[in-house]
Amino acid sequence: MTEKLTISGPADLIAIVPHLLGNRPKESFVVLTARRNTLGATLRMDAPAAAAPLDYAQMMTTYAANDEKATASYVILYTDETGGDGPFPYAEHVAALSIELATARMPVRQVLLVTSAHWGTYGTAERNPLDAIKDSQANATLTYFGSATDIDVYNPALLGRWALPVEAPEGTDEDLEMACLTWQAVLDADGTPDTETARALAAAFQHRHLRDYLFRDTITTHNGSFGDVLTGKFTGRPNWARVDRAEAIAFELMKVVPAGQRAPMLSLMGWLEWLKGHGSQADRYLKLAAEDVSGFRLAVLLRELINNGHIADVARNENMSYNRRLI
Amino acid sequence: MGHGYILTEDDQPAADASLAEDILELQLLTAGDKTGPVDVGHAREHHNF
Repeated sequence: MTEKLTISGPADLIAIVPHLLGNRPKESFVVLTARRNTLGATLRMDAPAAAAPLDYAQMMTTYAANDEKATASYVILYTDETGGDGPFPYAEHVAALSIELATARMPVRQVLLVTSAHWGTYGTAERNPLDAIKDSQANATLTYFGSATDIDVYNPALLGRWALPVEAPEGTDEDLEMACLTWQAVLDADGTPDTETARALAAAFQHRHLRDYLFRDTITTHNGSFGDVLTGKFTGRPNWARVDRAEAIAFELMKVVPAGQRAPMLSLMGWLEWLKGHGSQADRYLKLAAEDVSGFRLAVLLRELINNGHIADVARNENMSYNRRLI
Repeated sequence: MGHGYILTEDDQPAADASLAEDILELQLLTAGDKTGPVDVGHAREHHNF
């Protein structure tokens, strides 16, 4: 595309964050790396609960340093905290982050504060209305060209209240071959699978061994190693359209089974969101999986990995990572 | 003299064993502090930001 999006001020900068991340940050720190007059990576982390300022700042800077071309950065703090004894919230963390980013040769150009009532330059009395962000040129342009934030494949209202349970196959080599072939055919086709096919796939997902292979084969650029696939190390850029489709199909499979059998598909959706760099959305799906089947092991383990701040390898690499639909 | 090992039924992996879960458990042995999930996005050059 040749459309040009110009960031002419802080309202534009704040406006593009949800378009880049796919969600509207709350109680978060966001760092945007910059290269001359363009932006590089956007990172969001939960505001520190108990993390020491230096530890927190070093972790965030390590993530930002994945952008090797960055020469500067912006910091946006989203919070309704008032700052306790000090005049500004998370003052020590902001100071530590500014020092660490400067040390990493990404000096901070501006720190902004966004609350649920206003926004302004951090450390000042500036108070601007939030409408200025919504009405910004950047938001209008991105929205006009079809970028949408907060897209969610999962809609519980569409799941229905009752469906017959499926029975997991035994897990023979023939079962595995059949499940993988069916999964591939469904992902390569258009539209949604018929009920019989959907139930056969949903049944295969109930078997842990078969499920692992279906997870792996969702990505076509894998080297065969489950360890590499799970952590997002691929041999080439994934076919992200296929990944989007896999998420949509996973939701379709959830419709043909009752509650208590949806956890494997929710786990797939969570894992795929994590590969895309959407840790928050991934965490949400995996939490739902662990609620659908109490303590569902794969979801619990993936959640633990994600909540330890792991970023999938593929999401760190700007040439391999998921492209949100922007102009 | 080498030892002869008998593979009993208990030694065999379960038919529905999950390699993915085993790998994740190993990975988590060296996990650091809890920070919460991280979101990452990349601007593309053609975005002209």
